[in-house]
Amino acid sequence: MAGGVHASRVAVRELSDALADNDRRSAHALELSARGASRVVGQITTELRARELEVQRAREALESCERQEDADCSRQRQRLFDATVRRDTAKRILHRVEEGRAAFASTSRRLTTRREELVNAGRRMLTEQLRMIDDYSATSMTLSGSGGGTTVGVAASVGAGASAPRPAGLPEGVEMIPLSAIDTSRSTVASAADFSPMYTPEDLDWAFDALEQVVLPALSEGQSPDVFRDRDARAGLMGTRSYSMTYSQFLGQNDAIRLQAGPNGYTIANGQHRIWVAQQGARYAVPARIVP
Amino acid sequence: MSKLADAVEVTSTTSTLWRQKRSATEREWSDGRRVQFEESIGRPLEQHNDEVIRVVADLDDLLTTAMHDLNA
Repeated sequence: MAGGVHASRVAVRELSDALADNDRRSAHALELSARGASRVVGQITTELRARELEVQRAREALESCERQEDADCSRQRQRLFDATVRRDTAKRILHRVEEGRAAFASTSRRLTTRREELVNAGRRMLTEQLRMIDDYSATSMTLSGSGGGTTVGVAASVGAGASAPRPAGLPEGVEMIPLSAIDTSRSTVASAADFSPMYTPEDLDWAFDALEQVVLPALSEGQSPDVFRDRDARAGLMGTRSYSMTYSQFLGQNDAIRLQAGPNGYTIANGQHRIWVAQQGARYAVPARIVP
Repeated sequence: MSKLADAVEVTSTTSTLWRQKRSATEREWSDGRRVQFEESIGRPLEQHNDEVIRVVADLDDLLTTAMHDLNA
């Protein structure tokens, strides 16, 4: 079940990104085309003006010729004829392109409206899907907790002492603490820039998923933490993105998040980067050891 | 005209990426929610992308022919 929730959350994130990317690229393509059409219309218009000038000059040359008695004006007549044909050709082409551009603009408006409708509807569906996953996660923790159906509706004003239901597999000494009960006002982590390149927010987000999907389910089946080294070796995982490090940094005796109880909630003794990532990922609770 | 070729390329790439992403999602998502998303958003957006490709390509053809005729 945890795996299904993990997969859905990842899929929602990916699909949301793809939706935004599709929206941006489609709009960009239509905009590029519209600009290209404007540029071509400008070129044809400039050419048409030049050809109209050519007709005017040819006509003046013919009129000048015809004012002379017995003059042979056939060359001037031919020049005027040729210039007129070239001007009319440019006029027809301009008309054709302007019609095409107008049709394109109309279709483009319709497509943009349609895309906006689809993207907005898609975002609503994905938001709803995320809400359902969050609801499921909270319910799942309740069902698997040892507290016998403790509710998870911890209010934002909850103080120290509050804990979320225990998921199966959580070791003794570690509690699930709702993020709403943790005072982050003195945290020095405010953005992704506050992370080391060796240990990124994406790495920690991966570890949160690994904890939920792999580590806790394995522990709940009674497996020893030692199995994570074998699983890492089989899966080719190491370092920050490995099950063994996920175990130690979330559940280990020395490396787990450590919180201190205070009058306004828990203060962070260790783990502000993990807590920041959990907040960014809209997670409900983090595993932590409560220290004096 | 090269700008329009870029537009065709951008749109084709968009459509391909969207198809790939949805294909990956199909493997991960389950049940009626995915079907609902596919029918309401996935396929209609793919059709939209295909139509964008077509109108951009049609305009590209029109402008290329126009410039060719103008300079003939």
